[in-house]
Amino acid sequence: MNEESENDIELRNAKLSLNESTTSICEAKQANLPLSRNTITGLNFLVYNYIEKTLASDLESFANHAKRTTINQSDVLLCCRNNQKMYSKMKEFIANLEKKQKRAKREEKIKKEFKIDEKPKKSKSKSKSKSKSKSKSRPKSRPKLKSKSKSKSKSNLKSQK
Amino acid sequence: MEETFNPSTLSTILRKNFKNEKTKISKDTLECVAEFLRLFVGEAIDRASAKAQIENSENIEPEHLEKIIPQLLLDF
Repeated sequence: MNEESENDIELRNAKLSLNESTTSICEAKQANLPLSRNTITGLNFLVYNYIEKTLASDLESFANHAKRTTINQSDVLLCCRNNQKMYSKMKEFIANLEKKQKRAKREEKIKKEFKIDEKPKKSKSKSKSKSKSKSKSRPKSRPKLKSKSKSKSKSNLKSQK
Repeated sequence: MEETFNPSTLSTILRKNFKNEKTKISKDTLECVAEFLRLFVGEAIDRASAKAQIENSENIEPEHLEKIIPQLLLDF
């Protein structure tokens, strides 16, 4: 019984936050006419039922059809196959997401390289120096990926010196 | 800042309604689902406002929403 109530509480909280976000989206959207409160509640109801009944089963069956257990971005794209505009918008969004992720990864790599060069003796200090000076001791040839173990061994060598 | 759905809430609701317990969903896909639903809501509002304008009403009422729901669900 207690487990059931916990599940119910979780669902209720999820519903509430979903309603909050739908109302915020409705208010942010500048439609030609103002929305009445009943329409917003109707939209909340619609969105929740859509997720519950259509979206969950669709995504699951698409992933299952592709012989996967994790749901992919391609499954989400399939959901908007009927509407051409929606499909193109989703494609754009996914492309932008990928770009952002690549940028973030590149920045992480660069930060790691700089940390190794600038490390005096402190091991866990997070020096946030954004200096763009390239490493002087290192040769210009930059290998693609440096495993963490290699970098740590190099830093140990330097500290010994 | 654009208003979107919270990915964690979406994951809880989706996970409750999966038939197979093993199905998972990644964070990136949750962001896509949030965008998808945001577009869904936007589309619903646009279609309802068009109906309301045709009928010369001041606000967008639930009746207008009711009228656009069948076609909206078919398109999605």
